[in-house]
Amino acid sequence: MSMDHSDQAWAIDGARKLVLELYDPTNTGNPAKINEIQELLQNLQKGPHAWVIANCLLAEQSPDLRFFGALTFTVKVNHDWHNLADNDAYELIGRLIDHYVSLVSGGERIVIRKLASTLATIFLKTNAPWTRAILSLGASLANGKNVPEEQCASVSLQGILPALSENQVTALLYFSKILAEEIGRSGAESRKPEDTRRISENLQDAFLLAEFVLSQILTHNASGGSVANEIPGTEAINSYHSWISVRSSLQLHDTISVPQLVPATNCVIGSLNISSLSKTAAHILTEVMSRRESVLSQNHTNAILEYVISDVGTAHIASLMEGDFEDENMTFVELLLSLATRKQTQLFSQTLDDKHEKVLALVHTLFKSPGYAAVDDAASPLALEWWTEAADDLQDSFLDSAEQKGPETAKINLARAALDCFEKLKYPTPEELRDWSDDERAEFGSFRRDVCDFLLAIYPILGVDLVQVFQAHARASLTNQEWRTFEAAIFCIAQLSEAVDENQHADDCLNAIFFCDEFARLCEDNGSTIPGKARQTLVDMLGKYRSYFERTQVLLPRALTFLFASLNLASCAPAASKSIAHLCNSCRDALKVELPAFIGQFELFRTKPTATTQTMERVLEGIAAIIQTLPADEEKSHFLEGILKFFLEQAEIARTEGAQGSVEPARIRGHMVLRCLASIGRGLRTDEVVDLHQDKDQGPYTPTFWNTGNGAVSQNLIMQCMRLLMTDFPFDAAIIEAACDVFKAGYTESTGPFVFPPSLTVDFVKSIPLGTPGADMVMGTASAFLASHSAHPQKVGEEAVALILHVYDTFCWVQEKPELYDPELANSGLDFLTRLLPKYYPFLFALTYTPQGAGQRPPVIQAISNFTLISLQGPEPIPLRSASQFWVSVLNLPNDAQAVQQTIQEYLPALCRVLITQLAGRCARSDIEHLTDVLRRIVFKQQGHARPHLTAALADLGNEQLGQAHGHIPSPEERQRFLLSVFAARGSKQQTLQLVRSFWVKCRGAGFDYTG
Amino acid sequence: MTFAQRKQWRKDHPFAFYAKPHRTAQGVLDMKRWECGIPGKKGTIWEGGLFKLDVHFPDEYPTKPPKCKFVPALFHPNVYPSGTVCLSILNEDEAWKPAITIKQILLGIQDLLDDPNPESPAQAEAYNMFKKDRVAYEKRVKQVVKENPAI
Repeated sequence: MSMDHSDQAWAIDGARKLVLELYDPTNTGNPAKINEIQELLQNLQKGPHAWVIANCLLAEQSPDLRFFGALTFTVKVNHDWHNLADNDAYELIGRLIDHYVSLVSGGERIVIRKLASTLATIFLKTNAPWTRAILSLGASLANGKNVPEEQCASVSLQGILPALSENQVTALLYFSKILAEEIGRSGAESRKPEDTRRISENLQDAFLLAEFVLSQILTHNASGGSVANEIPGTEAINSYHSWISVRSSLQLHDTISVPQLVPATNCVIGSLNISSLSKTAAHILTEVMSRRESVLSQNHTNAILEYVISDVGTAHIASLMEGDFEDENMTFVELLLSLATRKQTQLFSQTLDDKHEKVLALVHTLFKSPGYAAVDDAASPLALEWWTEAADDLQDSFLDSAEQKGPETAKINLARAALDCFEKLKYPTPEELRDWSDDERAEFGSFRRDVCDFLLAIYPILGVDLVQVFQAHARASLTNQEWRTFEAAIFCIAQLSEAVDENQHADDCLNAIFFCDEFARLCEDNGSTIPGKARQTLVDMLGKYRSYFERTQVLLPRALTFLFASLNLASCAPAASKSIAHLCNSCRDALKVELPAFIGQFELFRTKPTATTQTMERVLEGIAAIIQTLPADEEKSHFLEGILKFFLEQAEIARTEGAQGSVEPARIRGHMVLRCLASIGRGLRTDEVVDLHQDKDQGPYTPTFWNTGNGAVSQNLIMQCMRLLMTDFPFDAAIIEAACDVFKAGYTESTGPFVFPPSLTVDFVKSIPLGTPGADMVMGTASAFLASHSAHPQKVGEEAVALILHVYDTFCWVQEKPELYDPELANSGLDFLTRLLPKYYPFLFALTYTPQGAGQRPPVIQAISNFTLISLQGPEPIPLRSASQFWVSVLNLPNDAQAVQQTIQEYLPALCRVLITQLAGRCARSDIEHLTDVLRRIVFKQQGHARPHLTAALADLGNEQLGQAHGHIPSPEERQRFLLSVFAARGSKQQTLQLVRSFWVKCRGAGFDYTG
Repeated sequence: MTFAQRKQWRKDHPFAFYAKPHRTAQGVLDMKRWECGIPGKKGTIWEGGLFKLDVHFPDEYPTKPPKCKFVPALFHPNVYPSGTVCLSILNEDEAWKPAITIKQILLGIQDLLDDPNPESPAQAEAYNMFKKDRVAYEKRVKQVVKENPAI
C-alpha cells in the first residue's frame, strides 16, 4: 500500500515537472525535447495513476497545470471509461463538477472550456450515469458545489438562473454549447436509444438557457444600457445554433416543437439590432434560413426583413458601396441573400409591396459595388450566385407552364441583373492587370466563367432579347472604339453560342454585328487598332459560331482574314489557329476561291515567331481541307507541292543540324515537319465516309494518280521527308509518334498522296526495334495498318506475316536473354498480336514452324504462347493484362478453327496452372480482374477440357514450391467448393469475380483488407 | 448530386478548382453530369495546367461512386485511354464511401497527378515512360501542361 502511495506521489510530481517543462519557453525551440516530454506525459495520462494526477493538477494554481489536469481527465476517460464501475463514474462526475464550480470563480477561460469538454466527453459515454446535465451543473453552480442529479428533481432551471452570476451563467453556456457540438461530432452509428433519450432531456434546458441570457441582454439594451461584455451573448447565440443542429440531426422535433422554440428564436433575431451581437446573429440566421426544415415562422422572416431594410441594415450596403467589404458587411450580404431566397416567390410576384421592393432593390444594388469582382469586390460573386440560383428555380416555372410564360416581373429583374453584371465583366486595362497576382487573375477568370453559366441559365427565360442587348453593346462600342465594352459584349455573345449557334435564333443579331462596315474595317485593318484582349476574345468567339458561318458563308473571307492577321499575336495565335482549322474544315467548299490567298498568308506566317508546331499544324489542316475539295487531282497536287517543298527543305536543315551535333534543334525541327505533314494528311481526308471495302478484286496498292501519275511528286516529297528523319537521324519518341500519324493519315483513304505502298509501313515498323521508346505507338500503327485492310486480309497476308515475325524475333530474343525483358516491349508486342486476332488469326496460327534463318529457335506459335505464359506470371501489371487479353481473344475465336483449337488444347494445362497459382493469393489485387477474365472464358468455352487441369492445379496448391506470398492454403474441400462455384457461375462477370476475390483474400490469410 | 451539394461546393472549394453541373443547350442543369477543372499543384511539373474532368453520378449515387473522366484523355499512368481515372476512392470495391465529397474527390485526383500509383497502371504509354524514362516523362507532362493552360 505504502509502495503504491509513494509510486503515486512520484507520478504526480513527475507529471507536474513535465508539464512545467513542456511550457518552459527555453524548450520551445527544441521539438525533439518537446516530443519526448509529450510522450512521457501521454504514458502517464493512460497509466494507473492518471485519475489522481488529473485531480491534483486541476487543483493547482498554474493555468498550465490545470489545463493539463482537465486534458488528462479527457484522455483517461476515453481510455479507461469501460473499466469504471457505475459508482466510480458517478463519483467522477461529482468530482469534476466540484472542480468546475471552483474554477468558474477564479479560473481562466481556456481551463474552463477544457473541463467543459471533459464533462461533455463523459456525458456522451454510453449509459453514463448523468441525464439532465445542464440542469444539474446549473444547480451545482448555484450551490457552490456539486448537487447530485437526483436532488435536482424539484429544481427548475428558470428558478436557478436568476441567482447565478454572469461568470457562472457564461460557464454554464460554455458547457451547453460544447455539449451540443460534441453530440454533433460523435457518430450516430454507435449511439444507443437510451443515450439519445438522455440527450433529448437537455434540449428544453439548453434553449431556455440561451433565451434567458439573450433576453436579459435585450432588456438591458432596451433600457438604454450598453452591452459591456459580448461573450455571454455570443455564446448564447452559438449555443442556440448548435442545439438547433442537434434537434434536427437526431430527429428530436417532437421533444421541442417549433412553437416552443419561438421565444429563443425571437431573442436571436432581436440580437440583430445589438451592434456587438449583430454579426453573430446574422451569421447564425443565415445558416438557419438555408436549412431545409426551418424553425423560422412567417413572423420570424418578416422580423428579419424589417431589420434588413432598416437604417441599421441598409447602412451595411451603403458602406459596401464605399468599398468596405469587411466581415460585418459581408455577413449582412449573406443574410440579405438567404432572406431573398426565402422570399423569392414574393420578390418576383406581380404585386410587390414596399418592403419586398426594398429587399429586391438591395439585391440589385450589390452589382454596383465598386472594384473588380472577386478581386476587390466580394459582393458581386455572391450576388451572381444568387441570381443564377434564382434563374434555375424560375426555369421550371417557365418551362413547365403551358404557354412558356412565367412571371413577367421575374423576366424584368433577370434582365436587369444581366445588365448590371455586364458592367462587372469588363476586363482590366493592361496597366491594371500588371499589378494583379496570378491568384487574382484566376479569381476574376472564375467570376467570368460563372457569368457565362448565369447567361446560359437565363437564356431560356429571356430568349433572343438577351443576345440583342449584347449585340447593341457590341455595335455601339465598335463604332466608338470602346474596346473594353466591345470585349465584354463579344465575350457574352461567345458564351451564348452553345444556346444559339445551331438553331439560328440569334442570326439577325449576329448579322447586325458582322455585316456592319465597322466590322469589315476591323477585319481589313491588320489589327492595328483593336487591342490584344478584345482581339483574343473576338478570335475565340469566331471559332464558337461555326454553324453560323457555315450558313453565312459570304462572311467567311472577312472573318478568316481577321483570323490570319491574328496569328501574329502571341496571345491570339493558339485560338486563331484553332478557329482557322475549324472554319476551314466545316466551310471548306465555300473557301476554294480563297485558297491562293490563304496559302500566301501561311507563307508569311511561317516565318513569324508565333509560327509554332502547334499553330502551324492547325492552319495547315485547315488549308489542306480546302485543297481536298478541289475537283481535279492536278490542281490539288499543284498546291500541295508548293507547301510540301518547304517541309522538305526543313527536313534537310534538320538533318544537317543533327549531323552537326545540334541534336535538340534538329529534333524540334524534325518533329515540326512530321507533325505538319500529318495534319496536312488529316486535312486531306474526305469528309465523306470512305468505303475501304470496295475494289475487292484489286490488290492493296493499285496504280493511281498519286503513286504513278503527276501526284507522285507530292507523295515522294512526303516519303523523302520521312526517310530523312527516320534513318540516321537522332529521332525520339515524339518524332516517332508524329511519323506514325503521317502513316495513319492515309489508312482511312482509298487514294491520295498519303496512301503509301504497304511495304513502307512494314519497313518502318521493322526499323524501330521493340523496346525503343515510342515502339508501342509504332505497333499501334501496325495494327491500324492491318485494320485498314481487314476487309481483305489475304491481300496483305505477306505484310501481316512479316509484322508477326518482327514480334516473334523480339520475343525469342528476350526469352534467350531474360535480363532484357522489358514490360513495354512485352506489352506492345502482345497488344499487337491481340488486336490482329479477330481478322488475321489464320496467318498467326499457321506459323507452326520455325521460319527460315531463325536457326534453333522454337516454332513461331510456340514461342509466342510461351511468352504470354511468362507475362501472365510476371510482376509487371501491364504485360500481365495484355497477356490476359490475348488469351481472352484466343478463346473467343471460332470453335471450328482447327489450328486455334489445337494450340488451345496444347496450352490449356499450363494456362490453368498459371491462373490458379496467381489467383491463389499470388497476384496483386489489381490483377485479379484481368486474370479472372481469362478464367471466365475458359469456363465458358472450354469447361470440359479444363476441368481436370483446374482440379489438378488446385489440388497441387501448396504441394510444390509455388512461391505463395502468404502461405494460407484453403482446405482441399474449400478448394473443391471454389471450383464448383466458379463452374456454376458459368463465366458471369460479377459472380465469378466475387468468388475469385474472396478465394484470393482467403489465400492471402485473414486480416488482409484493401489498404491503399 | 443535389443542389445542396452544389451550394456546399460554392461555399467551400479549393482554390483554382471549378465544378458545376452541366448545362444543356436548352439551359437546363443536368445534376448527374458535372464539369470540373483540376489545376496542377504548385511546385510540381503539373503547375500551370488546368485539366477538364467530367464527373458522372450514377443513379445509385452515393451507394456507387461517380465516374471521373478527363476530357480529353490525359497522359498519366493512372488514367485509362478513355480518360477514366483509376483511383481507389473512386472504386466501389475498394475505398469508395458514400460520405466522400466532390471536393475530396477532386483534391484526391489533384494529388494523383503528381503522385501516380504504379500499382494500378491504366495506360501503357504514360506508365511505361514513367517507369523507364523519367526525363522523357516529365518533358511530356510539361507539354501536356502547355496544351492545357490555366489562364
